Amino acid sequence: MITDSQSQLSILAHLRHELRTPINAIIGYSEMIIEEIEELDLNVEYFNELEQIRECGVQLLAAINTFLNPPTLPNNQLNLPEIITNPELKAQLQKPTKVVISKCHQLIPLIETDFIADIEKISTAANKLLKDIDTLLKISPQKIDSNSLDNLPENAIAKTSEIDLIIDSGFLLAAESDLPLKTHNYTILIVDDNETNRDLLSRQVKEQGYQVATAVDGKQAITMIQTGAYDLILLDIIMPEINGYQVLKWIRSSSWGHIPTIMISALDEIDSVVKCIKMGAADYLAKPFNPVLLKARLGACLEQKRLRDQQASYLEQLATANEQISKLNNCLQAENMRLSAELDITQRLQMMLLPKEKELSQIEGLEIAGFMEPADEVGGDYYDVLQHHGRITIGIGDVTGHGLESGVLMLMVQTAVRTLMENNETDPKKFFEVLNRTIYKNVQRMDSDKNLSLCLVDYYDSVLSLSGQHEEMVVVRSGGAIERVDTIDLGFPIGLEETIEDFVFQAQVHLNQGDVVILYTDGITEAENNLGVHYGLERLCSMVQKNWQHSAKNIRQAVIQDLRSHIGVEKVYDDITLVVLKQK
Amino acid sequence: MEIKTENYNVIYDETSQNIIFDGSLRLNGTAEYASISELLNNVAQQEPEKIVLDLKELSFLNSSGISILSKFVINVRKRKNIQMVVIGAKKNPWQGKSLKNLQRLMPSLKLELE
Repeated sequence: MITDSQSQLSILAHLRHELRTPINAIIGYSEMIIEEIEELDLNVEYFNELEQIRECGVQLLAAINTFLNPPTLPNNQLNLPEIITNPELKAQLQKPTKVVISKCHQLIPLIETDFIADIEKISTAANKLLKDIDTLLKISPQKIDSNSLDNLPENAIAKTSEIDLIIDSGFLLAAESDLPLKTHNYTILIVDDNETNRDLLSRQVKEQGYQVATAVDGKQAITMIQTGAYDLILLDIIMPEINGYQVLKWIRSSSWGHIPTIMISALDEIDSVVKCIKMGAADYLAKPFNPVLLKARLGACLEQKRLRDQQASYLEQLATANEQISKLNNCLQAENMRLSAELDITQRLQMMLLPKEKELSQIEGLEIAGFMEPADEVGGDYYDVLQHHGRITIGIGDVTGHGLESGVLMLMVQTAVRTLMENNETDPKKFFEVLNRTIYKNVQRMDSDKNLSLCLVDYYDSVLSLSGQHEEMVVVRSGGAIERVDTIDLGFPIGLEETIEDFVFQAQVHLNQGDVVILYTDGITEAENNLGVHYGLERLCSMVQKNWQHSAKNIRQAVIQDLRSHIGVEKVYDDITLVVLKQK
Repeated sequence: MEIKTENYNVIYDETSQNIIFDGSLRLNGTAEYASISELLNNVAQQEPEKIVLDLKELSFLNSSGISILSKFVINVRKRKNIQMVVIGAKKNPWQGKSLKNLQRLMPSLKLELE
């Protein structure tokens, strides 16, 4: 004797499920025929009969819900035999069922042949229902096979308010999802052990243009999912052997977990619906299948899937783009490394040939302090102090442009100057002519567009003899008087023209004790501050004027400090070169 | 043909055959001067009878820029039949000296300093 109220509720739920299956078929097939007739705009005399069949189905469903789904009593006590054997229930079920059977008999000779098969299905379902009413409602509750309860949800109580809520949201969905979905592109797998349900649902789904495949149980469903390509799965909960929960659990943990799964259930299996949604089902669909809801839910789920697939494809594109970026980045890094290595080499080339402090200190008659700082991108500044047979030559120059090529050109110039000195060339015209031709021919060979300014200052016995075109030479006499020596008429850019002999002249400056001479490159005069203002020749002159009485090294330091305060944090674009000479 | 930027403009007026520079040119090396070189070479290629290089309003030109003008003058000189005029202004200190080099490159070049 079952006294446990939980078990009694389960028995009721089972009864509802069994009786509803044929009722769903009655409603479903009649609805489908009615819809089709409406759609084809047929004017048939038997339309009324069809509507009566559907109405009977609705009445039957209502009777099941009224009598077999009682509200929970305060003391949790149910009188199960009383509920099941209630004569009113039997009467309310038998009467509409008999009406359905008789209407079917009337319709079969009248109706279009296309619909006869469906009417026969309705008739079969009604006859089964009539038999079930007799057998199921008569049967002693104790004899219900306990195995058949295994698949039932733990708590099958339906709360009317919850059902309403979900139905409402379903219709809301229907209103919103009026999307132009290309339904024929989608294949839907229907899994239901009940043949009538499968048939009904397949036809309703096909009606909306989808491709349909069916599986008769959970096992077949799993096999089909692994081998086919489905966009959505309609899955019945209550099935023998592998039930809907198990199939859902398998889908969600498999690599097909992205396929949206809609659970098929009776309305009062609300708790099992909740359980399925928690397990990852996309939605649920109640039997009997409401075509509007079916359309809305399929549409919404497939739209979600389409968006998810799109997102996945975007992510894939993004990943590909990312990969390309990272490849380019690697190339860039390699290029940066090459550039940085080139800069490093050029800076070292620039610095390695500079005269050493020791050499400078050994020069008689002149104090010499030199300074050179290559810019980040080396500019090709040149300065040198060479001695040969008591003759001292100070060179200063600037190769146009920046980079390795400028640095290499500067090295060639240094070598050529030294070669000419070692060869005792003292005539400035000849000196510059050979030097220019040497550089010009190499520049042509290098296919370079570079040239350079170059001024060579010979010092002998307190006299400076200068030739070659470069910036102005500044002389600050002991006492502070300034003389600027223009070199424009003393030469011509080296490497620009094949011959420059005609432009080369020499100027001479006599130095007295304490006189200061400044040689520099435009890296000093054109150094910019944050407003783009040049340091300028005037400021350089006045700095030397203020410091003439100091040693060459201290004058150098004062100028460089003042220059740095002018530049501030601005980028240094060009090499900075300064040579200070002071007559001892 | 023209190049207009925030700091400088280079415009070729075909009717007057004037190439007018204004502003301040402090570009970095030949690469950054490429578009100006191209404009100048296009003018030379057309071989007009006369080219006027108007630099009156060019307040500053760095050594790379001077080098570009020198190359242009050499290019014009090679074509023999083009008469070349360079107009500068004394208010621009760099011009008094640097423009002399252009004249040395092309003795027939007429240099006018206003």
